[in-house]
Amino acid sequence: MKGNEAAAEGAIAGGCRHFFGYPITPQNEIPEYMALHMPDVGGVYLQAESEVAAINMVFGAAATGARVMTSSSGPGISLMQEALSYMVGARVPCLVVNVCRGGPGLGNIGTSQSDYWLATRGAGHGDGRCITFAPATLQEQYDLCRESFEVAERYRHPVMVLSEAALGQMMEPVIVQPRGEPPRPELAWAIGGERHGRKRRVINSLYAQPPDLEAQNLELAELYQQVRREQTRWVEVGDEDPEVMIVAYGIPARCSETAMERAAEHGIRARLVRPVSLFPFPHEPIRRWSAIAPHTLVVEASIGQMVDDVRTAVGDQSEVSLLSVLGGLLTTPERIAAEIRRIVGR
Amino acid sequence: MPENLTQIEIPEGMEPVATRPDALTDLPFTYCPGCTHGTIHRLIAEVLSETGAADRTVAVAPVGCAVWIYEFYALDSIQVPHGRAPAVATGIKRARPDGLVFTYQGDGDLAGIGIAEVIHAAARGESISCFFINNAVYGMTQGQMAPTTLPGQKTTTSPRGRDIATDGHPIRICELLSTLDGATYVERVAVTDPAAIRQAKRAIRTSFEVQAEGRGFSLVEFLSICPTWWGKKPADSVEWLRENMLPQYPPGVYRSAERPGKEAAA
Amino acid sequence: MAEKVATKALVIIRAERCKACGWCAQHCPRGNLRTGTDTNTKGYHPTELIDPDNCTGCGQCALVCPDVCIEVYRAKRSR
Repeated sequence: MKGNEAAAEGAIAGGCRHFFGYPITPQNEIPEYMALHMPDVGGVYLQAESEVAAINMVFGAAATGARVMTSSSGPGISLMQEALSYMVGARVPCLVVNVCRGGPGLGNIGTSQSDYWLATRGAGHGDGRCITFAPATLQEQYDLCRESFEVAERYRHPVMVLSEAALGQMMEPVIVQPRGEPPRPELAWAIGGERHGRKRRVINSLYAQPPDLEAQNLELAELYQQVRREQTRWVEVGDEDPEVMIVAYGIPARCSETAMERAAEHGIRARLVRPVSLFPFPHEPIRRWSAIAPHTLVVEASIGQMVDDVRTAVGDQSEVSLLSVLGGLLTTPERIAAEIRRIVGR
Repeated sequence: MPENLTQIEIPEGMEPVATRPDALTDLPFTYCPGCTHGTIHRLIAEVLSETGAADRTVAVAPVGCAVWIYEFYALDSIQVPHGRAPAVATGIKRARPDGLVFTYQGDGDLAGIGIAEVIHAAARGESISCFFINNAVYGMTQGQMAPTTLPGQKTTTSPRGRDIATDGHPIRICELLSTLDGATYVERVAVTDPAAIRQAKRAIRTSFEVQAEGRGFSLVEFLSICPTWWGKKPADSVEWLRENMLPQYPPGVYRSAERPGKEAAA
Repeated sequence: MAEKVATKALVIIRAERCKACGWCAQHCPRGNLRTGTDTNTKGYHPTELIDPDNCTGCGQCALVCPDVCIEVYRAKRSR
């Protein structure tokens, strides 16, 4: 199936029964799939008048305890930032899928990873940041979308699956799960419907008294520590004694795997550390391998965003280089292999 | 115990004419003296209490002076981004169609930043109730021009009076929404005197009835005063409203349909 | 014809909520409300009923009050 379809089907399998979205290339197959399939599972599909409206519909439905998602790409994700900030502050879960395209501005509809900062450094303004997962295969995209509702609910926090145009548009086999209703926990904070006399609940991010806001901010800081302990995910592949550590996610990571095989033909030992969670970022394995590999190569489809996190993990233990793939172009293994050979010097 | 929470014993043989509706919390309103937000809050709460709907109603709080309605209403509530209340209400209603939901929004929230959301909620015929408080000024942010500010009206961002040439014309929300086939019931009322206040309460009741019966979108616009930023005492503010706002924003029913897309008979 | 009861009408004004906006006084059909001389903790002079025996319990004061300060009760009518 197509990557965008895998994301939508994964969400349905994960219990998503409400989708609010707006068309934008290259993710339109997601709302189209939802428009077709939501009625089959008794769910709600609604095309909003804008991404601003869509994310606020997500906010409302999610506040009632429903499993809700939206999807968009760069410019639309920018429009969603305010409501995402509200959801962080009000502790409301949801899933947002970003099928990243060329930017900034209108950019183009090519593939990129240039929303890394947007995803990992913010859920809008204030001290929030999306719990962010990045698939590299369509199976992973399906699985992450399926699992993310549980993650979002556990932490009462938005989750972003940061995909990219190439993943959204490509076709791969995906093993799908049945669409049954997953077990739902009792949600003690959800509003709406008949209260039957229960005490009223408020979903709110306004704390006018500084000590109250301080307490909320401290709770959020604690939450992120918990997320770091429990949700850091990565995959490693390659040599146990690498000369080069490659750090890449998504499509560049897949190309890097092939590039490593090419480099091995020249006797170069390389290891790929592929973050699957971008926030929380897997500093620990990168730090560990940077003590062994004299070279670290970051491959990303941006002018250099994840590289900052890699430098933080590496310190001065390894020489960090960046290979940027820009303009919406697709990375190639040949290009990465050439870069590996260049930095190793053979 | 603070005086305002004291229970007073009512003598035998007496019946209530007006009491505090239980859809309100005990918190005193923080609005300026004479501000009609309080009056309108009370009317909405009375209707919900009288119809027994409070148990299943969600209040959607705006950004503006009325941001605090989540403290004042004894209901499930949610505070949302500026202007987005109709979109949030849409999400709530689509997820919990068994409940009622209302938005409560001022000039900036509904006629400025949020105008797309209310237009599209109306066009879609969402079964929600939008309550629009029009006092021709931005209150919470200290008196700036609003999309509903009148020509020549002085505000902090139109210190020489609103100039049509540079600031354009005010927007009539009820008239605008009345062109939408999806809107079921749209009425403008004032809250200037007892007769008008009674009419306002009837309009609120009608709006909730339309929603409860699943008949689609309704909006009630309340012409209101802002003594503080108009720089007038409450009584003088009412006079100013009568002389200036009533001609610009005539009260009345602007749309009344049996269901979206169908006009009411006669 | 009303039964004889101790009071015809009872008006309770919660002084701590009153902001002396004057609306109730303006709309009382008997002119039976005025700004008082006491001061509440917020610094306002709460409105007071001038003559309780002159009140009909019409409830107009409560209808216009923006602060929900006023409760009104009246004698039940005999059948």
